[in-house]
Amino acid sequence: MSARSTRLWGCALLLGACVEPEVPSVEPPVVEDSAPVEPVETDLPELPPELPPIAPEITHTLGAAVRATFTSAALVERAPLQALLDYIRTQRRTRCSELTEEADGVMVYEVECHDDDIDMAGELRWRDTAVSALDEPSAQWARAWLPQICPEVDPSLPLDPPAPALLLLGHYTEVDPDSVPVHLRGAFADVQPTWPGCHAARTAADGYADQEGASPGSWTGSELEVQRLEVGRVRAGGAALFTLEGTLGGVNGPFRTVDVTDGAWLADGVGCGLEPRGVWGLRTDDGAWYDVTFDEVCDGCGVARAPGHADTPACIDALDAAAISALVQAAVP
Amino acid sequence: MTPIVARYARSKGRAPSTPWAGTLLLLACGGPEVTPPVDPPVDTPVEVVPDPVETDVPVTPGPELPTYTSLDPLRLLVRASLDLRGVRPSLDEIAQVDADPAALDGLIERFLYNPRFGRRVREVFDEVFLMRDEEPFVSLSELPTHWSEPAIWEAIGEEPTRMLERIANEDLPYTAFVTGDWTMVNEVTGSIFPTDYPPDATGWRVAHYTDNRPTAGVLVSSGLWWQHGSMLNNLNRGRANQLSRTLMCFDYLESEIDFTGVSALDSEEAMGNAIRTNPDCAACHDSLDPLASLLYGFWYPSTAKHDYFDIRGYHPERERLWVDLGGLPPSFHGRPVQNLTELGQQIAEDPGFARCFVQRSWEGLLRRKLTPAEAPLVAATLTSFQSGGLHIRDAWRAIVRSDTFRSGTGDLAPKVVTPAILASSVEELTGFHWTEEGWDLIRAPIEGYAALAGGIDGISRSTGIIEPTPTLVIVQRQLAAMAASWVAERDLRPPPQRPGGARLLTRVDGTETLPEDDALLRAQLVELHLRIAADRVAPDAPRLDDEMALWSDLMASSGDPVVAWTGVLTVLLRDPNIITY
Repeated sequence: MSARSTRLWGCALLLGACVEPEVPSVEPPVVEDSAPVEPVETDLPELPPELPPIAPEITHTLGAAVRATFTSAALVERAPLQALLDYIRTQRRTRCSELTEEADGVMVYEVECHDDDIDMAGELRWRDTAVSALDEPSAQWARAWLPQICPEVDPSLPLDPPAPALLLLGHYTEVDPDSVPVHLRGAFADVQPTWPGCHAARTAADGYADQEGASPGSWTGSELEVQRLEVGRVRAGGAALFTLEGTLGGVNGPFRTVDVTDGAWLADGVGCGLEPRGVWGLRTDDGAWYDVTFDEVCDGCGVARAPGHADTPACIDALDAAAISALVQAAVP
Repeated sequence: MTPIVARYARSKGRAPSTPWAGTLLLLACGGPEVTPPVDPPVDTPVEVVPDPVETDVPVTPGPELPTYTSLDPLRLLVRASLDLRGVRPSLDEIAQVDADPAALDGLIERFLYNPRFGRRVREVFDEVFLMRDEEPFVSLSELPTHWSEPAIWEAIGEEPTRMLERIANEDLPYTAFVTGDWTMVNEVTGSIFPTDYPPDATGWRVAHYTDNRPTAGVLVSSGLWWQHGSMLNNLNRGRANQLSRTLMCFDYLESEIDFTGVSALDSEEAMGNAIRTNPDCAACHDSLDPLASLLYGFWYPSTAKHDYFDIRGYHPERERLWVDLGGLPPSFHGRPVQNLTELGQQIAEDPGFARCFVQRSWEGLLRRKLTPAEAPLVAATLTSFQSGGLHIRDAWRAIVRSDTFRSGTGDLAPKVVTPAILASSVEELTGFHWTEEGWDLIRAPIEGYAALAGGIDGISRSTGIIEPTPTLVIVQRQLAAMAASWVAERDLRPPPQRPGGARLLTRVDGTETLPEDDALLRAQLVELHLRIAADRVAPDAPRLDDEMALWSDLMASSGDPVVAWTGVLTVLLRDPNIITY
């Protein structure tokens, strides 16, 4: 299971139940008139210099960055990967690959090659994180979200089986000059449980899927490389929820690399349609990271933090928010 | 072996190989097949001597240091020439010192500006960075390139120290090593690494990575991290120690650890808990692990080391993987660091960085650890290094001019050649470069005989040798025979067929006979002794009588002057002065 905790949002995300936190009022101390005080020399150290705020070119591009990240994350789905696997199967240039369907409907693509299998680039195995994401974490994830977006679903309902699901492991590099170069590495798992009135899909991916010549607007044609990415899509009536966890590289936005913890966006009229959730780490090309933490106030704003800088407000404007909502609506089936 | 050492060894995933296999092969087969290289051009690098340099090298403090007796000028000339250029002094240079021993300082200054100087710096630090281990972490055989494995291995392994070579030759500040936005690439790595190396270019050139990796000099060298990888359970700690050991001279693996209070290290989980909670473990891990956390951009998943598509570039999306894998926030000496660029800057500003370079230079040139009594040597050299703007040349000048370096007694009498010096000096003398199927047999530790010759690669051998060993002598013997044959055959060709002239047999042409040409042959031998071994031998010395007899016998039995001179040159190239200096 990922070390990143899946924190539940305390207040009801969907129902607009977020309440402005109460600010304790403290009476100012009464200062009595008195004789002027002589300055006293002290040994107190000087206060550290005030830190500069984070530059506007970072904070002002937050909306574009969040939108680009959701756009990229939405590409990571089953269909393009399935198409790529179908292509590989059609080519059948490898004598050592197998795509099998397990009894529970899970499709497992495995490659075991020996050195003399010149078409292939080695054996396959992968960390167990993405594999396990198919079962227990999926159940946890589903149970965590269902009560919020699908309140009519009994969270104690069994989720077994979670099919249809697709599981991919390993890496594959097509080296035959007569075929379209393909590079595939990592792990992919996909579950799509459906309950009455509520459809959910969860995708866990780690690695990349690249096919030369594929459309740049597709996963296999983008330069996307994801690290322990977990994408959730939930549809309940008109509401669409897109959750995001993990790191994306090759994002086509102001920041090529974005690291998201507990990220989410809820589209539609229930609750706040402006406020993203989670902590968004934005990496500049020179290697600096800026972390934006969104609070629960429905204003599209968060606080950007980076070493050597003062905490700086950063906001998503209404235009970007609308675009993200439209994107999420389209991405959630 | 302490657990931390054992774990590191496991992370490398291999057992130390025996250095004897090569010997057995050599003895059983009479030596490997030699692939004669193309007749090499006579290498006469131009020494560009700048304006006189102020050399205010502080004299090594006396009281704490042992008393040294300096080598005589000729021996010192040989030592300086081999250490600064990797070749033996020419007859002209010997004559200059004979005429005026004070000429030595001027010659040393010229050696420092010889084009070979940077190469010597590289060779010394090859043994610091341990880049010449033939078993890199990634799989070379699966790289999409037509280059041979030896060529790939050499190009990848030399990337870090080629950077140092450039810094030395061009008098760049040493800080560029960890802050520069460039690297060194040749046509081999130019076809593999994501750089701006021109596709039709050849040779080593300055290049820049094009995958937006941080600007951090050697810290972002693909060659370095292809060679020094990390397994999942090592979590970049071995790599972090590589940086600490090579750049800051602190080797965590040499730390003494008291495990008496540590229990239950029989599982990954227990180990993970201990390194955070046990003070003895945390003493190292609290500073090592934050360094390791900075290296996840070069993290290759379990099987990705076979996957060129994965290992070819830097992975910014993996930089924060330390969070998931239980690492500590990146820092250096307790100061938070965001990325490798900042790490490079902090290392460059750390006084220990320059001091470590000086220490490694001393150790590389002495081929041993400094003793506590010799600590002032580092301080004195460091002063010269820092006052000149951290130019490598200044540090090495200070070393070579020190009394310790010039000592002819104690641990420094004599020094033993490294495989690199043995190879380059014999090649410069004879033109012979010993290769087989692309492998440099003197410098490759497994495919060749570097380990037998005392070379350090960190796997086959971890420490240098301070006196000649039987295996070194075996290598020398084989090399001598092949090099002698090579040079005799070429030097005795008619002049039109040996452009550049003869290398060693400068006074004879193969038509000589005895007793008519006795004086001429003896004059040639006297010269050969001086050139090859820096030995002054009188024309009537008994040793020359023996060599004349050998030459005569071989001529009588073969009728071939090449055979006769091959025999004599073999003897001369087996002189102990070839491997000690």
